[in-house]
Amino acid sequence: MGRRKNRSTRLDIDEYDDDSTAVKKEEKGFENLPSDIALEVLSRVDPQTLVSLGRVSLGLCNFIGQPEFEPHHSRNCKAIAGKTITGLFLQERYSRQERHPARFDDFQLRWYFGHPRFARIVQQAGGIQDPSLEFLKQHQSGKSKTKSSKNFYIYAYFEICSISVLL
Amino acid sequence: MASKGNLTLKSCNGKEFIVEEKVAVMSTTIKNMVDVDDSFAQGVIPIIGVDGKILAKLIEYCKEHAEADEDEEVKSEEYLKKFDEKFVDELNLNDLYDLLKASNYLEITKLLNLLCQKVASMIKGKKPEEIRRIFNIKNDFTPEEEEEINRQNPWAF
Repeated sequence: MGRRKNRSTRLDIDEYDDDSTAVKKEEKGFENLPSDIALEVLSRVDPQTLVSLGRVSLGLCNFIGQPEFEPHHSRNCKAIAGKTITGLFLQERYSRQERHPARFDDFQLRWYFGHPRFARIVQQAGGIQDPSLEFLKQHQSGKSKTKSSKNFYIYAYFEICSISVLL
Repeated sequence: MASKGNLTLKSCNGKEFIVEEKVAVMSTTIKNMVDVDDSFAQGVIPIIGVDGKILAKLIEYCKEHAEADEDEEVKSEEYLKKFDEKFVDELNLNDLYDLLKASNYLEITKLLNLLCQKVASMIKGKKPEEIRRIFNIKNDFTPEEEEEINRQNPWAF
């Protein structure tokens, strides 16, 4: 029964990908390996290698960036690592064009949906030591950045919503 | 025709393997087939999309594990661990992919886990260029995108 249940969650991922290039690229890269198997494999990779994986190809980057990937990864990594906790923060960048979705070009869309941003947790895990999240390098404060740059980051309150920890 | 307690598995390129039932039912898919329909237990079970070479590998793996489940003294956990290591080390990348797909289709959970772990360990600690080379993945980032990633993630490398 357990496996049957897995099946259905895997199918969901396929459906999620129906309009993106992730699955196609993945198949090409892994020689037609179906996305459910790719998910099983890639979710067993440790968080730091995951960062490298995101830079291998756009397909892989999108694949590990999809929301369904993280719970799988979290579960498998816990099983593998046992009590050892390693972590990475993932923060998403929002571009100004977010307010005008119709004006997204392809490149921005990929950034918006597909490219997770990682920052290492400096302290040994055991809780977030610094609630101001200053260790996230992308964390910006003040409005000057917004004016000078085409893209900007949604600040603390938003980042907290979009951050997930890979354990 | 297989004798009682044995099943005949037929690969997609026509090779037939006679295996003990306890070995074959390591695969949940085959177990369900046999449970539901008795005619499978007597006749030939076609294993769609799996060729003879891969099916032989699958049977080799299942045989060891089925025997170990039955008699822990002869085939201890340690023995199995060594067998598993040797089993995956001997595989090339294409065989790995084929076995992954086959064990997924046949629902041999233990083997699927083992193979996933093996591929993950091949990726572990590697740089993007190395991963591309090992798995024959094309870098499809535009220079513009690549620069952007490098700019965004300088601390991660």
